[in-house]
Amino acid sequence: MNKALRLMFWGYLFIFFRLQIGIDLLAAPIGYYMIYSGARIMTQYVPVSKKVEVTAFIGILISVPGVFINLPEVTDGVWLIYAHVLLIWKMITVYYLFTAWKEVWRGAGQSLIRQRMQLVYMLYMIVHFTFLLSMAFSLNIGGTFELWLIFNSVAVVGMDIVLLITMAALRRAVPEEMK
Amino acid sequence: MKIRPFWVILTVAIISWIVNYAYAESKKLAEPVFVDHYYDLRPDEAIFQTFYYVANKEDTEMPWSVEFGDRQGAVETYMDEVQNIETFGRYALRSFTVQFLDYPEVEKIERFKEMTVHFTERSVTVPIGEVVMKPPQESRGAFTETMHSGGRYDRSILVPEEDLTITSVHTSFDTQLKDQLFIKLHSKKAALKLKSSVDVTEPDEAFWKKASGIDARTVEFPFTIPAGEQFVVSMMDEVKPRAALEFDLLVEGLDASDEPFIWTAVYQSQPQFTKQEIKQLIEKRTEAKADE
Repeated sequence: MNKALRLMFWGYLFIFFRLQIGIDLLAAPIGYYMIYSGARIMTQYVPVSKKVEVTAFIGILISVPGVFINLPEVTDGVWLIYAHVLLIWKMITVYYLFTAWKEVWRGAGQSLIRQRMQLVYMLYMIVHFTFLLSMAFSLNIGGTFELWLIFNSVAVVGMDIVLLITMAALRRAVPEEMK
Repeated sequence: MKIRPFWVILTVAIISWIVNYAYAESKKLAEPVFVDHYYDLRPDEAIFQTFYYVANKEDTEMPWSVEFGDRQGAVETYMDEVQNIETFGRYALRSFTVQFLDYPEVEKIERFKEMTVHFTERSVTVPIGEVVMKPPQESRGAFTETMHSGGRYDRSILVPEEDLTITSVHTSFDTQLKDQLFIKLHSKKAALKLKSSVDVTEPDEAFWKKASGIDARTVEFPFTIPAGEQFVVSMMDEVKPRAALEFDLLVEGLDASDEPFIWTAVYQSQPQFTKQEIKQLIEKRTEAKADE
């Protein structure tokens, strides 16, 4: 299980972080593959992880074009739609990750971990949905709304980091029977 | 959060995105819309002229050069990417500065209502208001003291060293900007006579009503300004839709020896838009295009 969480940690880092030198060196397909591998291990303990497997597998396929395009710089057309599809897919993957983790830490005496997970989950989704909606409306709203969008983008990166920290913390709290 | 709220909110977000995207696409400009410019350009000066336009805010094309007939200007490029002055909804107001290099000599006044702009990926010929290319002009110092100030309205205080006969006070755009440009003339000792049966509308601005003088359109030319007497020329504009203005205010006349003189001051006004005015500008251009 520790290995599964380690793979998910590095996988998520590859998905959200870009190192663009000609191509994205921290390629998202590699990240999705790591999450897929981690989910396959986790499925042995919690069957609901199968959904993470499926989501991550599709993620591998759909994120390939993004390796060769500097997505943060796209402003128009099909690549803008694609960038949004990738963002939504990342959110769906995280949604299923939390669903699986809740199964892992469902036992008695683990309520503190569950509470922390719930808090991070809520914050993550609120920030990401706010960002998604702001991006939608920014297409037609100008002026100071752009400042709000910048603030939102920073919050999204902040929540990505918080999620990574949470994953690292979960690795230290894996139930004995699943280690 | 249970499964249902996540999927419900995600669906709402996706629908919002699709609706916004579809709306933005439906309002997309096929080509940049240029603000009306009313400019006097003279080849005897180092000309750097700024032009303003409205583009889709996601457009990244850069202007490189412009053409007025066979006259060309190079766009000064300070930056690698376009900079917005301000964004209005899905549009952005932008500007660029043009330098006219190797300017061919202008022998007579030439007027241009369209400009060809070469962008990185395409060229467009667009209406731009009106730009007047003027031949070189020698201004003679007919006034000993002059003071020119801007603000809510433009004001020039001129003091002649000898008796001067003023034959006209005008700009290049008095006809095009009829009832949108306002000039007032004032002199205590000069007897400014009013034309009979001239009815003009004046701007409904308190500061303009308080400005001393009478509307130049109602003044009977010529008239004489005695030496040493202050002659005040005030000017303001109410150009609609908003435009970029940079042209000469010309005071023409004859000195005591009947030699002609021309005194000029530059009147400037840069456009500051509201969202509604941007919309009106786009509608005006779109309707004009549909009528072609």
